[in-house]
Amino acid sequence: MDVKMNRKAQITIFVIIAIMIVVLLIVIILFVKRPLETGNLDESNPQSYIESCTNDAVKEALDLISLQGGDINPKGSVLYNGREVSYLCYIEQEYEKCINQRPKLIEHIESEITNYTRNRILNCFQTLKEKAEGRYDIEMSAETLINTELQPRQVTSEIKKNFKMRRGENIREFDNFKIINIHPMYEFAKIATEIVNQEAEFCNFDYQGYMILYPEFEITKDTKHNDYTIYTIKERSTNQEFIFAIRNCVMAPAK
Amino acid sequence: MIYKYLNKRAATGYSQILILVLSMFAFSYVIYSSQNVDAAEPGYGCCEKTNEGHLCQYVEEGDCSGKWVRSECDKTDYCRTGCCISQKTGLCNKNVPKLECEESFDNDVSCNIAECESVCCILGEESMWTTERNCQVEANFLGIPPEFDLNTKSEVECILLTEGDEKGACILEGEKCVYTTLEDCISRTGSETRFHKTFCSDPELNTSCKSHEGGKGCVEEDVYWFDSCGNPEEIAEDCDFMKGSYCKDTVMGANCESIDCKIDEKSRKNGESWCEYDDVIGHGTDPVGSRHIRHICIMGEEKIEPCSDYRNEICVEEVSQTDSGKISQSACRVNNWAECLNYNNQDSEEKLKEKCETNPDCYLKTIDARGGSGNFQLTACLPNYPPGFDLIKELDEEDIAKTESDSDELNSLCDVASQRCTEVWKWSLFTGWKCKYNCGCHSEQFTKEMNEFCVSLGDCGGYINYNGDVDQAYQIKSTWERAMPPRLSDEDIMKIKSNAINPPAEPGSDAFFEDMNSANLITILPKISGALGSALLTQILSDNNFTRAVRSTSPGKVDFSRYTKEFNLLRTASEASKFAKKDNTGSIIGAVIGGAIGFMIGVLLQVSMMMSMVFALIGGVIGFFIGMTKTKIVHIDFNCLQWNPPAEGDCNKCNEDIFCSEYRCESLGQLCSVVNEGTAAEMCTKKEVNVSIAIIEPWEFEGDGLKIPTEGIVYSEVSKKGFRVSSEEGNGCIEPYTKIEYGIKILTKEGESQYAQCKIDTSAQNNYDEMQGYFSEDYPTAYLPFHKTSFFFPSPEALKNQYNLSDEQIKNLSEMKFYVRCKNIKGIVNPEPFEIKTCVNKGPDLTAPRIQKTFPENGAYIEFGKTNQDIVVYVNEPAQCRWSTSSGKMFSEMENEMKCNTGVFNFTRYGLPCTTTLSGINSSNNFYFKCRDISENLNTMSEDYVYSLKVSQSELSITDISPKNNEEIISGFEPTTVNLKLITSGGAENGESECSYKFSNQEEYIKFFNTDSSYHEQELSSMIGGSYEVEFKCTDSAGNIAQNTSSFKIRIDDIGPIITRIYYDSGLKVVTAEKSECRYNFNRNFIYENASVMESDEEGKEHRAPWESANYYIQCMDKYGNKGGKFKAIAYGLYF
Repeated sequence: MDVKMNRKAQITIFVIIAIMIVVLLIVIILFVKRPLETGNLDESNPQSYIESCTNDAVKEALDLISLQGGDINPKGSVLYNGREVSYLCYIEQEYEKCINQRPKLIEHIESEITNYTRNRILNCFQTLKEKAEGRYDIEMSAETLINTELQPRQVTSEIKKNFKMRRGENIREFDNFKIINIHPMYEFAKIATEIVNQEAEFCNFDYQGYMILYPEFEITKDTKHNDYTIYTIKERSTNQEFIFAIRNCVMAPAK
Repeated sequence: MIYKYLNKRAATGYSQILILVLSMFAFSYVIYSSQNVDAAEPGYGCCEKTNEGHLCQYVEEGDCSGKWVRSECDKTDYCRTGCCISQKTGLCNKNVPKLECEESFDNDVSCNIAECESVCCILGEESMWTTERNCQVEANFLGIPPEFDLNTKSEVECILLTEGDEKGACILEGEKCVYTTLEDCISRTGSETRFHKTFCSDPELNTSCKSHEGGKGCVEEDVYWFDSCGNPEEIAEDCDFMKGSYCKDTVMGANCESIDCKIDEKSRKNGESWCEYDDVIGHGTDPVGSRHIRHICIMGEEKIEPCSDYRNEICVEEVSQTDSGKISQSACRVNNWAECLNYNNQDSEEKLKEKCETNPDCYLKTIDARGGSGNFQLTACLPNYPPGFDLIKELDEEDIAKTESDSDELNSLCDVASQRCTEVWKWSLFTGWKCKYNCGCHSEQFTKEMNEFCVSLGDCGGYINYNGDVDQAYQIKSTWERAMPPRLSDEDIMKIKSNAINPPAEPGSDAFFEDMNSANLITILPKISGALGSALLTQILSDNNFTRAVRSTSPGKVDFSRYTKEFNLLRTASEASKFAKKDNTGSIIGAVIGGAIGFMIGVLLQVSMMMSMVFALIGGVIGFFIGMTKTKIVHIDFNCLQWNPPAEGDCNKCNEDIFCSEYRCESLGQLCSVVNEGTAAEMCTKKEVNVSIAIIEPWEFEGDGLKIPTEGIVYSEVSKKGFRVSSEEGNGCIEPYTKIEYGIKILTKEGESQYAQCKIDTSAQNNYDEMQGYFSEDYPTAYLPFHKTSFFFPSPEALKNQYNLSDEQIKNLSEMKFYVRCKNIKGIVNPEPFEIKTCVNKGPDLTAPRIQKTFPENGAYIEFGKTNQDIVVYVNEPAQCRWSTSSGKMFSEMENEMKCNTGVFNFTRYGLPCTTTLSGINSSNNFYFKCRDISENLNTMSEDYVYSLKVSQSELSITDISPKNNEEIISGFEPTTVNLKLITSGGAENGESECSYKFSNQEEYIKFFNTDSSYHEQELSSMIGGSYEVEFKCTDSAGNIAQNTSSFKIRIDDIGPIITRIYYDSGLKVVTAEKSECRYNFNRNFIYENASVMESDEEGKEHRAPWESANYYIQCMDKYGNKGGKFKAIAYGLYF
């Protein structure tokens, strides 16, 4: 009898363990499948949610811009390692110095990030609103001002939008969201500007000398098919890169 | 911290490295300054935005999606380039089109303006070399006031400057602590008392931070201990960047690691760079497809920088001795090969040698084939590192149809080494045929030397690619089989490599690492441009002078041997017979002596007079034969051709390097090409193409003003075996002295186009390798789907008269048959030759000669005051020409005879030359020419050829120069930009001329960037303080020359205005020593741009501000942008 009971108990335990495993698996699958854009969705802390959600969008933008010469959708670019890379300095003719295609690179990148993140940020607010509705009355201003700024060692995104959460008498109101993303994009853009300036003036950039003076950066120059040059700037401490192309002072083969 | 060990000597080292790079820049710089390629290219214009999205490019209208103007971009308002200053960041951008920068644009493309001058900016612990505005922007981000070290004048000094503020423990709330500066601590805590000059882990501070518990970590170059709060403590390992160690953080913790490199058991120091080569280099031995590679050791890793492909750049290296041993420095710099060829245009051999031997990119080659007596001795300056060619021609039908062979351009650089040597052989009864003149030309040595000459010019001649595959791209022809020089074996060709120099390549005459100060920089830059030649490279490649220079060494005569063997043999025979006629004196003397001896024998034998006469006759005949000699003229042609990749090559060899390129790939085989370009899978592979034995058909093409065959010519009798080239008119034979073009196309069995190389010969017997000439004139050795050639033949009748030919010979000359064979890209040749027939009208000649070209051109200007002019008139057939100053005269009445060359072998591409000197130009500028041919009909021009010359009305003169003589240019910074400007007047066309300049220390004049009008301008953007003397030379189309000089001085004013007085005068009054603008603020850390502007007087030396009882901080800036120090003035209240 005891043996029977023990056996039943044992089966029950196994069943319970199996159910627990299945539940655990379901939880894991659900957790993994949860869309990234919802981030750490905590509708009671909209500041944190919007910052997290925006941060992902900015990271995506930075990743694209870094590998594509400062553009989200490169135009006037060359295919390099399977990715379109924008020319920051370009000249069609041979034996001529290149024309600077992207003066004010920092401002351009800021604008690219702002444009890329705008819809995603609006989605973040919309998702937050949908999640919070039911428990809160949500009011959002139609106007959303997004300002991206490249700063030394960081990229800041400031969102000006009125977001009001009301539950009975309790009102919480947010107007300003500031997101800081640690990224050397400002430094990359400054170095790229210096490279383009020197290339446009001297047909060359002394990347070796630069690396000796600034060992925290690694610069690679890859001239392809006697036609265009790809510069890669890498921050040694983070391995983050910025890639761009130039076509400058091309010397034709003899004939 | 890392830089605390970087002492002054190290800084000098770095500055030298920078100078090395600056010198490289200089090469590139002159590329730009000296050329104006495509300036007048038809169909091109300035495009605001191309279809591909590029801004301000000089392209065809169809490639443009924005505004397009038929002009160079620099001449448009929207695309002219300048300096763009970012208002937001304070950074400057060079060479920016105006449309991209409307609000803050400056015309100086090099940004040599005050706002863009870099200063040493100190932000807390860090220093950086940037613009003042950018420094302020970054300071704002960091929330700290910027500081400027105005005494620091270079980036290296600035970077080495900062030691950083002293740090200490800053006690925060709840026993927390951060290790930071006093300033930061005050900003965090609001109190100075919370800052302690010790570590956070100091037990006396009672913080929660525990010493060394955070392990070791990197702080810049050194390894530090960290406390449990993550604050750095004392140094754990002192790495020495200068001695080659640097902190590296790994999973095992931080430690000092070497940043030197270990490469093939050899240690290379950080920053050291060196050259490597595929194979041998120098003396023209660089194999086809080879590339110079620069290696750099940086932070413990080896980086590879391939120099520019096609050997447009070479890797140069120099080893210098430093305190820590020998260190090699290298650079990829422009290969000055074109300059070497240009030197061959020198007046004397001494000058040629001097120039050639001092340029490390050139070497002097002497070929002496005289073999005792003769004239075939050639000294040429050749590229040490021959340039690479575009090996696989991808030309469409239209490209091939375009006639290039008639232009003044050389078809290929290889043509320079195509030379003819003429040998003279003599025959006598006792010696047989013996060479007497230029006897080295039929030797193997001749082939070897000429091939080396050929190989040095580029990817030409019999040589190898970097994989060792041989191509024998040269031809040797001789008009006498016996005097044919032997060809080289593949083994002989490999021996060329033994001529190579010991690597590495020399840097050049500018000492890269010599200590250069700014005063002599300007003297070095032009020297570099002269020695290393990028300016000339560009000039040469875009200027006809180059082709003229090299043409002077190449044969300018039409090679008839390619058309008919009969003709070729005839030529030799007829010329030899002319020599034989001249040289029959031996026979006559022999006959006379023999006759005399015979007669004397008769007399001695006391025979009758009659018998004595018989003896004399016999003696004379014997003497005649003994004394008889014969002379033969033998022409030996060495034709240098472009090197061709092997039919079957190892394409995969290219993928062994990370720097495989189109050029390297294509050098390996006809079918090798780069696939998946721009992707990670980019590689060199063998193309899959459909090939078969070449099916040859006549090629017809019409379009864009081109027609193959030539208008009036048709293909007839077309079959699988051949076709006939006929005239549409008359009996189908082609008129003599008429150049016609025709072509063939190469198909597969399926009727698709295929690429092949084709040869043509007058003999059907020869196999492909023995065939005399290549079918294509413009691209002789290229594998193409279409091949075009031309046909030009003099009148057989004229030849008959000139060389006394028989009717049979005339018939052979007028009816011709050629045999064509083609080799496809897999090396398969059609076994049966393809026949092309044609005929030339054999006469009689009924047409008068025609003047085809003159030098100077008809209507050209001549120099002011000149009354005589030498001219050359080219006639289409052998003729005599005369000239008169009166029109309508008969040929026989014309007073002046020209000296005409009537030998048909002297035909040039313009015809046969006649020369004369026209006199009395002042009184009459119109001259009347008539020519009469030398045929039996003596056809004469019925109408005068009217030739006119325009005389320059005045001397060419330089009327205005800027900078003016003895002018002093003051600039607030260096380098600064100076514009050389000239205005010319007079001469042939109201001052329109080409002007050049040179500084007193330069040898060669450099062409102005903007010239070829009466206004000439050159921007010099790298000028530094000092005195300069510049010489100008302008030449107009008539050859009038104007010269002038200007001496000017550049003074650098980099000191801010000095405040000489401050006092009360109805307000605060400040007096400065020079014209300035002054601003004030009551905060010590004010930013000049944001401060209040003081009211200045007209002279700009007295400045006023309202009086307030406060501490004034005043700063003044002069017109060059130099700011003085901040001056504190304490104003007390005034009581009246």
